[in-house]
Amino acid sequence: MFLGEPGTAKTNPEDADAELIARWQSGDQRAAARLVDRHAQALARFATSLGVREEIDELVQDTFVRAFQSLGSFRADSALRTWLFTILKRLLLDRKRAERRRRDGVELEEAHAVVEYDALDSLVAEETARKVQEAMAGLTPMQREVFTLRVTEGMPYGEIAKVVGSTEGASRVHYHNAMRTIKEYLNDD
Amino acid sequence: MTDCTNAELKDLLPALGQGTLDAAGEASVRTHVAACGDCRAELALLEAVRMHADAVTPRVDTSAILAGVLRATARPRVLPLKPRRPWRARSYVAAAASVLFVGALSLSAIARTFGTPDGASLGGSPALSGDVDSAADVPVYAMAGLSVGGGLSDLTDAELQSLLTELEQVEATVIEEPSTLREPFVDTPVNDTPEGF
Repeated sequence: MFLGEPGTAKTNPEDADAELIARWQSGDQRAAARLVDRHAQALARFATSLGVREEIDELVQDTFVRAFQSLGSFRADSALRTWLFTILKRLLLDRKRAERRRRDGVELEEAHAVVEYDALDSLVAEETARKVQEAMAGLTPMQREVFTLRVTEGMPYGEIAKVVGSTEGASRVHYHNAMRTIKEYLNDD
Repeated sequence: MTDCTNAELKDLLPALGQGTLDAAGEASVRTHVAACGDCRAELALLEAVRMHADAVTPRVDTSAILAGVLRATARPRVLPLKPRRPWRARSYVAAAASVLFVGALSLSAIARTFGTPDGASLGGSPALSGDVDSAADVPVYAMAGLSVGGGLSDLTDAELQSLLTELEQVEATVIEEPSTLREPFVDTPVNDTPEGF
C-alpha cells in the first residue's frame, strides 16, 4: 500500500520520472524543469535535516547537475529521488571533507559526517515543533536520517536503506528506535 | 493510552500522512486510527515533524537552479564552418599553380643539365659545354639552364584546363574540414556518482 512496496496502486511517481528522464535525454528542456520542480524542495528538506544551513540552493543545483550528467548510469532500480538523495549526501560529504581539510587537515569519518543538528532557533515558534526539534536532537545521526526520510519524504524502508547505506531491516529498526526516543522525550518533558 | 499492537498498520502511518497510500490502504488505516489512541497520537507527532521540517527548510529558487543546471549541462554546439572568401580560394589555386610551375621549370633545368630520359648526354647545354657558336642560337633562359621545354608552355589548352581542374580538386580538399571535428560532442559521464540504482 506504500508506494514502492507491495500493494501500491496509486499513480507511481517513478513512472513520471522515467518519462521525464527520457524526454530530457532526447533534448526536451521542459522535462528538466519538471524534474527540478518535482524534487528540488525535497532535496532542500533533506539537506536541512542533515544540518545544512547555508548554500542549500547551490547544493541542490550541484546535485541535479551531477545527476543529469550521469543519467546514463541511473538504472532505475530505485526511485529517482532516492538516487538524488544519495548524490546530495555524497556531495555534502565531499564539501564537509574539503572544509575540514581546509580547517585542520583532519579527514572526516563518513560515519560521523552528519552530526550537526543545530538548534533551529526562532524559525520554529510553535511549541510542539520546538519540542520535536529538541527530541530529534537526541537521535543518533543514523536514526535522524532514517526518521526524516520516512516521515517527511514517505520513503519505503528499502529506499531509505539505499540512501543511508544500510539494510531494509536495519532501517526499520532505526525508525522505530527513533520514534520511541522521541516519544519518551516528549512524555518526560 | 495503550501501545498499538498492530505493527503493520502502524507502519503505514507515515504513508498516510504523505498521501501515498492507495484508496483501499488509506481507508483501512483511517479506520484503524479512528479507533486507536496510540496511532492518533503518533499521527499527530508525524504531522508535527513534517511541519517542523517544512518550517526550517528555506524555499529554493527552482528557476535559478534550473538555469544553473541547464548552463552546466549544456552541450557545446558544433560551430558552423566559416564561409571561405573567394579571393582566398583563388589565392590557394594561384599558389598551387606557382608551385607546380616552378617545379616543372626545375625538372626541365635538371633534365637539360644532366641529361634527359631519351639518352641526351650530361652537360648537353651549349652554355655549359662551352660551345659558344651553337650557344648563340640558344635562348638566354636556356643558356642559364632554364627551359620551359616540357613545362607548362608545352601544354595544350585542353591539358592546361585539365591541370586547372585537378588543382580545383586539390583546393577543395584543403577547405574540407576533417570529419572528426564534426563529431557531436558527447559528455563524459561522471564516474563518482552512486551506482546500483
